[in-house]
Amino acid sequence: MSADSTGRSGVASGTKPVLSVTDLCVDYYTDAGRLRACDHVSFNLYPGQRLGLVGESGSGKSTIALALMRMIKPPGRISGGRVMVGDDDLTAMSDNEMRSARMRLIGMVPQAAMSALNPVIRIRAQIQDVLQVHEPNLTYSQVQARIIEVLEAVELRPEVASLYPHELSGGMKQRVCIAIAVALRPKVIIADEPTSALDVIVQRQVMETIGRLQREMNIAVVLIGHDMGLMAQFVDHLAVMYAGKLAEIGPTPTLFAKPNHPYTHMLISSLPTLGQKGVFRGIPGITPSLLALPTGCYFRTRCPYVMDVCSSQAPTQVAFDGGHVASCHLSAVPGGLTGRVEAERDAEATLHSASAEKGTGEAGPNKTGGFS
Amino acid sequence: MTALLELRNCSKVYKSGFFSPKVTVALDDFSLTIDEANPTITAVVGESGSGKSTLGSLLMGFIGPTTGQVFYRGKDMTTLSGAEHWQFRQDVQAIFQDPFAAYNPFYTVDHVLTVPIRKFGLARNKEEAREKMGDALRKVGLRPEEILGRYPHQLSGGQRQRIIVARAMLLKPKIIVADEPVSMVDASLRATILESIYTLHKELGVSVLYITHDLTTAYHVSNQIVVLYKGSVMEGGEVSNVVKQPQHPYTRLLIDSIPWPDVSLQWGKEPVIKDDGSSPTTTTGCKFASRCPHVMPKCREAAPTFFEVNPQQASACYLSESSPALAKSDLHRVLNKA
Repeated sequence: MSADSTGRSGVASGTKPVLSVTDLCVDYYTDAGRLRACDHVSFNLYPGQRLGLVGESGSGKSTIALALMRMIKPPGRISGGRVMVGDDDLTAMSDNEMRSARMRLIGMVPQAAMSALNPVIRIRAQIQDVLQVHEPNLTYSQVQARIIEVLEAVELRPEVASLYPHELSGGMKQRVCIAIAVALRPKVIIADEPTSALDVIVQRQVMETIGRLQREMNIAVVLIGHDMGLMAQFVDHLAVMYAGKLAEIGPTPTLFAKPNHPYTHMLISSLPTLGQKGVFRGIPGITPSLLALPTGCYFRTRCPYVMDVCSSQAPTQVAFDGGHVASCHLSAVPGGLTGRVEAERDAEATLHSASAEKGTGEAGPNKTGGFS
Repeated sequence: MTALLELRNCSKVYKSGFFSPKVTVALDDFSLTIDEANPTITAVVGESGSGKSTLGSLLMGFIGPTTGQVFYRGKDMTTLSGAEHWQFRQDVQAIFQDPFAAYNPFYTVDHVLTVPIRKFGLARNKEEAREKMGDALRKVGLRPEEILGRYPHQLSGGQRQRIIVARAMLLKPKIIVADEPVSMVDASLRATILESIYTLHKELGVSVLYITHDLTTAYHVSNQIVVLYKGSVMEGGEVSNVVKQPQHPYTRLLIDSIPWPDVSLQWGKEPVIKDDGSSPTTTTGCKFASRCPHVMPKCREAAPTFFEVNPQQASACYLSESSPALAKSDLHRVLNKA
C-alpha cells in the first residue's frame, strides 16, 4: 500500500506484538444485573501499526480503551483475560505498578479535550505533572526543555505552555492532550475519538500530527471512533465492535472491499458519499441493551440476512486470508455475505427495470431513506 | 412579495476587553432571504469560528445585528409588536447541537412537548394534546409508547434528538434553524435524523437552515449552500455545483479534508496552510488570504466581491474575476435560482 499524507504504513509482520489482548472481559455490576460490556475480545497490535476500533455508542469501544489503561472503575471490573504491553502483563500488575506503567507504557488521548485539561492550571504545569511523577530525577531545566520539546512535537508554539486551556482553540487543546500522551514516549497510544468535536480541516490536521508522531516514534496507535471515513483514511487494521463483541477484524482495505460481517457492510454503506445525491442508508433499529441481549447472534435483530441458525447459536470466529476474522454464520454459507449482497443488488436492479408495482421497493433489506 | 425572513447587510461584531477591546467580526455584511412561497433547505457550512452559529442566533432573534437589519414578514425585528413577536416565535423553530443539554434532567421528556402545546394553545384538552404528541413522535420514526413518560437519561442521543425534531414539528413552523443537529450522534444514526428533518421540509413545506461543518450531509440534504469563513461568505449557490465544482480555494480545502469511507481515495492531497493570524476578521482584504495557496498581492488589499461563475453559483475570489460581478447583498439571487 502506498503511504498517504498521514503516512499509513504497510503491515508489520513476523515481529512480536507490542500490545496483545487475549479474551478480555469487562463486567459492570448494576442494580438491574450484571452486564458484559466487553466479551472475550482478542487482538494483537504490532509496533508501528494503527488499529481502528469502530462501533456505535454502547458497543463497548470506550470500555476497551479504559480496560487497556486499567482505569475501569466500580461497578465495572475486568473479569477475565490478559493485556500484555511488550513483556509486561498489565492485568497482573499491582495498583502501584500500574500507576507507573500508565502513560509510560501505554498513553491515552481522551475524547473530550476540553474537559480533560484542568481549567485553572497553565498548560506547562499539566505537562510537567506527568514528567515529574514518572521521571523524578529530571532537573527543573530538563523538565522545561522536555515541555518545549513535546509542544513542538505537536506543532504548538512554546508560548502555549504559559496559557490556560480556555485560551486555546479546540484543536490546540487536543494537541496538548496528544503532547501529554506522548511525553513519556509510550509504546502504545489509545486515542478515544480524538477528533469527534472538531471540524473537518482541524480533524485532518490533528490526525496528521498523530500519524507523524506514530511514524517518528514508532508508536502503535489504537484509534477509537464511529466514523468509517476517518478509519478508511487513517488505520491499517480495523476491528468492528457490536454489543461488546468483536464482530470482525482485519486489514482495512480487505474489510472495505470484502466485509464478511453484515454489520461492517452496513456501517460502510451508511456513510454518505458524493455519489447519488439524497440516498442515505441508515442502519435500522438500535443496539440491543446489554442487559437484555438476544439469544444466538447479538446482531440478528437488525441483520437483513438473518437465518434460522442465528437465533439458536452464537457464531464462532472464522478466519479468512490475511488475518481477517469474522463472527457470522454467513461465513459457512456458500458465497458468504458477498453472495447475499450481490444477489440483493441484482434483485433490486431487476425490480427497477421491470418498474414493479408500489411497495416492492421495501423488499430490499437495506431500506433506503426517502430522500429523493 | 415580502420575504418571510430576511437579513439585510447584517454584521455582528463582538468586543471583549474594556480598555483595549479585542474586536471580532463574527458576521460581515451578510444578506439572506427566506421565502414563504418556495421552501428550501439552505446549508451554511464553515469551520468553528466562521460565524455560522451567530447567523443562526440572528435568525432566531436571540441577538440583534450590530449593523444592518433583520426583517420578519417585511417588518424590522426591533419594531415587532407583542403579538407579532409571538407569531415569530412559533414560525421560527430551532434544533440545537447537543441532544443532552436540551433537556431538563428532572422532567420526563413529555415536558419538551407539553410546554409548547400549552404555551401556544395547540390543544383544547389533554387527550388532544396526547394525540398531537403521539403523531409528532410517529412522524420522526419513534414509538410514543416507548418514549412518553421516560426521562432523558433513559433514551439514546439519537432518540433525544428526534424528540427535539418532533417538538419543532408540533408547532407547524415556517422555518427551522438546525444548528449542527447531527454532529453529536453516531454516524449510523445521522441518516435517520436528517431524514426526519427532510420529511418535515417535504411534507409541511418548512424552510430549513442547516448549519453544519459536514459538507457530505449538507450535499445530500440541502438545495443550496453558503460557505462561510471568518464571518464572510466565500462561495454560495446550488449545492451540487458548489460541492462538485468548487471555485473558491477554501471550499476546495474543505472538500479535500473530508475523510471518505473509501481506501482508494486519498485524504488531503494539498497540504493545509496554517493560519498565521495575518488576516484577522477585521481585515479589509480577503479573510482567507493567509491560508490561501493562490494568494495574490491584491487579495490583501481589498476583499473580492462575488463573481457569478454560473447562474447558480457565486464565488468571492479573484480567481473567478473573469465572471460577471455580483453585489454582496444580491447573493440570494444566485441562491434562489437553485
